[in-house]
Amino acid sequence: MSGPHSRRYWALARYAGLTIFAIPWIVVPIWLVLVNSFKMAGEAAALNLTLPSAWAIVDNYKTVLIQGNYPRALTNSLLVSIPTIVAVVLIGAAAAWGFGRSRSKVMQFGYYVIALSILIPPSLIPRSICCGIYASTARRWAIFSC
Amino acid sequence: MPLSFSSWTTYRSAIVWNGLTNFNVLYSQGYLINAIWVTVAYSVIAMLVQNVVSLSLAYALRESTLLNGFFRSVFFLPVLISPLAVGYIWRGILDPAGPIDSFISFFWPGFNFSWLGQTSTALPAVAFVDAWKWIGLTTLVYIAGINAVPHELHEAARMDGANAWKTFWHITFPLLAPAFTFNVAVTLIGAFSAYDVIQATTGGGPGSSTRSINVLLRIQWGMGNFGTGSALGLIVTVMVIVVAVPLVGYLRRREI
Repeated sequence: MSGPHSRRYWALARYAGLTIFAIPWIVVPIWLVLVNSFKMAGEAAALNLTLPSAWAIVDNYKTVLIQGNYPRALTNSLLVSIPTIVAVVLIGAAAAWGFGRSRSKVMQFGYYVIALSILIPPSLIPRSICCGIYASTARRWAIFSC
Repeated sequence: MPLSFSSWTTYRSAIVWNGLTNFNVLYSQGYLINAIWVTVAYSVIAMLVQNVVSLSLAYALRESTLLNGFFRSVFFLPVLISPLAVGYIWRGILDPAGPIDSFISFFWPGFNFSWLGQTSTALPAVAFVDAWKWIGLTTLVYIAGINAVPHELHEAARMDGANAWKTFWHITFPLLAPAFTFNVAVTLIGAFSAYDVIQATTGGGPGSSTRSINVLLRIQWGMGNFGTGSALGLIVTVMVIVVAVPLVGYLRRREI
């Protein structure tokens, strides 16, 4: 039963199944994002799978880049995400090591206090950069030490 | 947090302590119970869909081959799309004129159903969209978990004559418990504070059928009722803690 032949057959069946699953699951939604970004406003509002009747690729992306001031937005995003990632990786790895190695009750209690911050919904955290970094740091800590 | 117990609106100059009035107001307007129910139902559906689909995907893609790597990245794509964009795409897909209904009416002529427009299907549909977005991430965690299971155990099981299904249920799944704990807790907690996907697909409608606590929070906030808004924020927090702490405790106990 489990000869090389039937194994080959199963692998083939698995990839066929995955492909059939991926078409409605991934390809259609991604296609929708892509093709609608090429359409004029009116046509894009209808959101369907057909190719645009009038192409507006250049116009659309130009509007985003220039009027939307995309470089500035990208810079802002990077200004938030890069320090966050650096802080998360450095502090998170160090903290995970500490929490993982130590057997003291104080450290265990400390871990639960920090883990508790994962449970606080983001909407409740005051809007200051410090707290933002703190929250996302704690979130990764938990992942590290899981 | 003390703001939850204060009368803080745009119509008054001072913020005054008013005890439980905010909670009472929300309750007597009939908003609170509905929002809690919606949030809980939404989270449970999203959690179930997400874990079932991603566990199956992870099992199919568990080996690290080139082709599997390709499929892993394909199924990870939705995680990278912004939640608002996800909401808008799925509003298009679930539209009566969208691809799903056109596909069904291919077999069942005249099929025309507004998935997001009916109170009965809007909530499961939106929960599904949320699950769809995050499945890639949970799949990764499951793949890591499956590959951490010692290979000898599988061989031993095969020697004893167990088939693939039995091996999965009796060996892989129990040893997957840490990944399972993490995924269930994270998906549930994430869905409790769901806001962006709901806002982009239905905006809380039709009626109040998808108005989760956080959507209600923004509505209250938008009307200038900051006190009741804060009260809702506190409710989400308390709900998450009340559900998550015992759940994680329970799931941890079944880890080996």
